Amino acid sequence: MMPASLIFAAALVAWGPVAPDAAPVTAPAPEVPVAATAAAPPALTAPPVAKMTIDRSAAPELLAAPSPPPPQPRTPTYKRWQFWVIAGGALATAVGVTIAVTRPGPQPYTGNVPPYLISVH
Amino acid sequence: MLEGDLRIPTETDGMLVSMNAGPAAPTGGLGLNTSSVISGLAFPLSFGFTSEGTSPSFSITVQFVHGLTQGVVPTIVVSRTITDIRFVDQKTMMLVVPFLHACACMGTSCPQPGDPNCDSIQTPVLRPFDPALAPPSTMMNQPFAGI
Repeated sequence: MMPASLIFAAALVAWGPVAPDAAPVTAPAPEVPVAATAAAPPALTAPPVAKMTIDRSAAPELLAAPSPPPPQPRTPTYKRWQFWVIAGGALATAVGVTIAVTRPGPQPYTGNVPPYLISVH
Repeated sequence: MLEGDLRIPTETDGMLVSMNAGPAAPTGGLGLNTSSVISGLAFPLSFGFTSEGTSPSFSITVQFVHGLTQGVVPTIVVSRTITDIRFVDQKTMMLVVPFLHACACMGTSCPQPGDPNCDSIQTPVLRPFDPALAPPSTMMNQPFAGI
């Protein structure tokens, strides 16, 4: 007869090693359907993932991947030089057109003797 | 602009201007007819024309007369007709026309044609307005209602 402590120790060995705390998040363990039996205890064989070890040196970039830089704030339109170039050009054009359209023509010559100025229709 | 060697007011004291729109010479009946007393003035004399856009040219007859201020029928001293004076768009042009004593009529006889200083002028060549040559404007009134 084996002592009960030896039997318990053998059961623990058969159960397998305890899964490490830092379980890989990128490889979730596949769900293993377990047949629901009323009297059967959980299977003594551990899921395959529980036995996998993580090799941190294999892909260090996955563990220490730099986070993407935060997006730079968008420059307001009125702070861009292109805006002021276009606005200034439009303003100068408007002023020039206004002056050209509204500028009075040359004053007619009226001379120094009547009839001074004759309008020819 | 009218230049001349006539003595004012002993030889001439008035000016008659007839104007007709278009290339035809004024007939005296239609068109604009004005008379002006020029006593106290001196050559050169000048007046202007402005286009209302209808007629591209106009014609005038200018007569310097004597007796306009004496209450009698004035007599023509020198008369010249310039026809088909062309407007130039957006420009002020000038025409200098001499009125010489040599062209004066003696009674009812006037000089025979052939003297370019006395003859009528048709479609004259205008030159750009020269403010240094033309007398300064002395009145900025409304233009005469032409035809």
